[in-house]
Amino acid sequence: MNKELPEVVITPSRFRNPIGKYRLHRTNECTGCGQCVEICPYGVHVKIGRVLTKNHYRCIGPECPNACFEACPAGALSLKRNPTFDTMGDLRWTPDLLVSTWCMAETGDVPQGGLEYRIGDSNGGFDRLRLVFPRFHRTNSSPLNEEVDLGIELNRRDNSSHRIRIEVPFYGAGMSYGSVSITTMLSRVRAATALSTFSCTGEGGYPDQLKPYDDHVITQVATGLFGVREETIKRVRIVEFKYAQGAKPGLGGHLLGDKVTPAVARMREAVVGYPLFSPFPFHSVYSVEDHKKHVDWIKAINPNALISVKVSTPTDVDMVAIGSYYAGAHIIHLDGSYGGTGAAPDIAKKNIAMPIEYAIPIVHKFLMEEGVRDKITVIASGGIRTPHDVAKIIALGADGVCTGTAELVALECIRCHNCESGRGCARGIATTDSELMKLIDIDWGTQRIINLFIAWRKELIRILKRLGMKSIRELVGKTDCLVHLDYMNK
Amino acid sequence: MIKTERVFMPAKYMIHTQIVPNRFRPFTKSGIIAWWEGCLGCRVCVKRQCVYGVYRNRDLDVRQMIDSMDNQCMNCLRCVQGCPRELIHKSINPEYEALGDSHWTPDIIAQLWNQAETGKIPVSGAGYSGPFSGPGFDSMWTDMSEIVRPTRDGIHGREYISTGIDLGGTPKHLAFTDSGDLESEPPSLVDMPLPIILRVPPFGSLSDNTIKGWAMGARELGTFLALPNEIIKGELLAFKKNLIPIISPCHPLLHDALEGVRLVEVPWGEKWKEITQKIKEAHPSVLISYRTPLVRGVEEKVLSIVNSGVSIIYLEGTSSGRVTDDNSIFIKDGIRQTHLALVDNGMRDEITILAGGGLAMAEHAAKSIICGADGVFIDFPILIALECRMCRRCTKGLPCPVEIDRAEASWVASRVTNLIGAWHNQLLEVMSAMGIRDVRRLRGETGRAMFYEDLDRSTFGSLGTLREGYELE
Amino acid sequence: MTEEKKQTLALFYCQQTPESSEQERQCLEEKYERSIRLFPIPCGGRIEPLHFLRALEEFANAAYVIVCPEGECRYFEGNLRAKKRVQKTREIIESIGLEGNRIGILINPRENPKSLARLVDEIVCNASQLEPSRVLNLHHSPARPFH
Repeated sequence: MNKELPEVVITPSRFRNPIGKYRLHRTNECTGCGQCVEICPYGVHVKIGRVLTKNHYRCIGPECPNACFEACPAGALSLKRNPTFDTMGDLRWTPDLLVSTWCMAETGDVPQGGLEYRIGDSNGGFDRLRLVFPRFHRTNSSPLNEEVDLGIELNRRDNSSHRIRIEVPFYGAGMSYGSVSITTMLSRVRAATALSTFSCTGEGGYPDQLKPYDDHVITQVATGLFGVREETIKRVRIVEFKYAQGAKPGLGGHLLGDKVTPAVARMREAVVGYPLFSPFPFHSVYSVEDHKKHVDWIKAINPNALISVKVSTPTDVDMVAIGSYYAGAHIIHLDGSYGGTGAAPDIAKKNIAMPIEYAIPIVHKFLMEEGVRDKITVIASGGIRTPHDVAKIIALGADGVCTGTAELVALECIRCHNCESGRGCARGIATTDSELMKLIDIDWGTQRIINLFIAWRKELIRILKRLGMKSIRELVGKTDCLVHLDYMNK
Repeated sequence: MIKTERVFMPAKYMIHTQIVPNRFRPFTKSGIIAWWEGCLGCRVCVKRQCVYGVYRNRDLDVRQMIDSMDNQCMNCLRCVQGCPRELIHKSINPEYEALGDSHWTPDIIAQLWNQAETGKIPVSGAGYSGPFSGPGFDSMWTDMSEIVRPTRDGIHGREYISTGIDLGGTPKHLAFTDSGDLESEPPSLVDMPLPIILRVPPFGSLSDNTIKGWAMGARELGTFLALPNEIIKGELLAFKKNLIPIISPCHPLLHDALEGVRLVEVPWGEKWKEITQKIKEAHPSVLISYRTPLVRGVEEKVLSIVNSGVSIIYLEGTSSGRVTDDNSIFIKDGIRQTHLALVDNGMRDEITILAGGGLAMAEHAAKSIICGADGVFIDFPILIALECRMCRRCTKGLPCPVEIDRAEASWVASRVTNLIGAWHNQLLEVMSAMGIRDVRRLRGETGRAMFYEDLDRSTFGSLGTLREGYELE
Repeated sequence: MTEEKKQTLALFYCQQTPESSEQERQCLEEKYERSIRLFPIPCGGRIEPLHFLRALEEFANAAYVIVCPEGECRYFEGNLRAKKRVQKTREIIESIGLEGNRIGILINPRENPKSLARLVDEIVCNASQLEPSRVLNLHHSPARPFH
């Protein structure tokens, strides 16, 4: 049932000093006895001639049962929280979540201690929702890990289009060429291919380097219609209409002038150095009937392609969903307001449209009432950060999830929020600057995302087993697996 | 030959902004700690590799001991992660954390500084970074329209979005004589190109230049500056068309004081009828706005005076955005209730509602209007635009750390113009996302807003419960 | 202007110093009026000779830094680095003929660390012995305009 899974390959940070939550200090009293090296289970200290603290970031902190700072006979070691750690991130991607994701991208596993890897600090939505597990579960009737099925069918409505099953309940959301580099795009699509899922091109066109992975690419038709040609539509199995984007609903894409490099300008058929603002909405679509014409246009060029419609979350999101269904969509992709973006006005990110946690239950319920829920695949995105968020949003009614920021964090994004300025991302992820791009090696990037997804798989399997479920599809809409801390009756 | 008259389109309202440099240095959220003891002197030093050139041409502003590297650092952490001796670290800046208070937060203050300096809408990469929801206006989201709406591309669009409002009530109907003339006097209105009015804040290290600068800004923007009547003298007299004198019952009203003024504010309290009469006698065309504290149940009071010739009301909340007699209720609810009470009684258009009290962000203006206000007052933002830290030293007799009183009037004016320009553009973005082309149409449109309490409860109120033998994760 | 300038002290203090919130800082400013200028810093180790020198050059009769007790520094050794730098700055100013004790460091004791207010009182008391700095009495124009 499950195809061959890629291996985890330990892939440490590309930087010399990975950042962790704790730091240890070694004074000159150190005798080089090596006790710390022996008792630390995480390889924080090493002995190469002298004894050094090489890997502060792996330290799990004061809760460590084999505390090196207590065991040191010379009293040379002391442990403190790393002050730099506390300057990183924000309330949604807390420093704990950032470092946890880096850990998963390095090791293919969740952190072993000292870090909060399940929730952030936004004090609402996912961060106030909890999964409810039976305290003790009978292990003898549990399925084996290999037997738990995380796959989902993307086409639930007709036989004339491709029958596509992805082996994990998520695929990569559109991040356009120009907002991110080709290395980032390739890392994402190669990881998606290894995990038998998909990755979307975003609205910046379809670079030729993606050709070997056509079968795992979703091409996006967005309001700017950048790089959209018959040829690109024909190459893929899934076409995504992007009507809106969660982070800035009602506004089109923003690519500021400095990021419109010659390569980007060529791909988008635009002028170097001039900012690109995609219009909103599609100026050829002012009604559901117009949308149907759009769908028919795609079907004429690529008759077997699955159609995905990406919309954001207005108050009438249920109407939008049903309209898309009747116009022929296989997938309705809801992008919530707290999702990522390359650039957006802060007022839009915060205020416009609703968070995905509200939109999914509304759409799930409405589609059930209309009797079409099992004929369309509902995909959620917009601030999905961890396997726990994935489980929660599926329990609220989604079939699967789109990942965006989480993949960039795997590539060591630090959420500094400067993607759009000047040459773009100083860390080489969200940039097409030729010098900055070199900071990421494509094999490193690919493996980091593979490791992340494997860690997510493991967590999801663990969660499903604890819920007594054998497949992710059993979790869809199971709201009794969730409580919200503010409305909980004890 | 037929002579054709050239007809010009009325000019589109645009606020011209430009970079207006800070006089001092802003505090940044975090700072760099870069030690040099133990430095290896690497040939390729991470400091030299800094993409933002933060370590080149470092400069110490000795007035506040602020190092330029902190202002330029963009938190990419490459130097922290690259130095072989781990000599570079980052720290949270205690001065940033100390800014303002729980309502005027450091982030809000820093964002106001930035808008006043650049005139630009705050734009950033990556997704929203703040809390899921919050009190007051933070518990509202605005809607967007998906496919089926008219074209509008926000601030870059071809279609014009109007932000103009009229102050002064409009009658329920007009009556005409047989010859087609209006039977009564046409309604007296003051129109403004945007729904935001400036107001002198209750504290601040202010000088004549500060007030003059604000008045200049108000004139440039086409709006008003509300200020105590007794300080209108000297150079300020030239700005009367854009001033709203605030009358105080303790200060006698001079006979010609209001000559050239279009709008005046009177506290709705003792002697309001007398003061009104006095004003009307001397200046019959002046419009009067009546200020009243926003309290619970104020809508009853408002209903009672609609028919007595009052056409503009200003509902004033506290400087932290709440009603004055109950700290747990926010102005958004007070505005909403007043608006609805008037709507229910069929009187809404006969009176203009202005609201204010703790408005700190552009979205607060938009949301106040969605709740039912026609326009809003802002006070502290125009002070923070001048680099105020809301430290309140001026209230204790301590000198202002940013010497606001020494700022030139022209600098003050352009900072305020920038700030309001940025707010205006943000208002356009929000309206454009909703598909609304006229801000008067935005008034009271709570059907196009989403409220946290309702949505949260309806979504999560009936989820699972924690039963015996279960645990949470 | 060569009239007697009021003697001002520049006081840098680590933000971890007990009772050193913005409120407490402003109370001290009120108490001492314009004779002290307080600058919170994220770590004593952030102080550099430049801070002291510029302070002495522009407005300060003397400049001090308050750091955390040994072993308590969040960055492990910021307080130790501060100590070295104060020493270095002393050497610099002595070499140009200014009294070394115009620069100082106060290390909060490990047992019963003192509040900011107490430390400031101590410093002000000690510094009152100092003569007005000759640097400030020199008639000079500022090195560069203030913006």
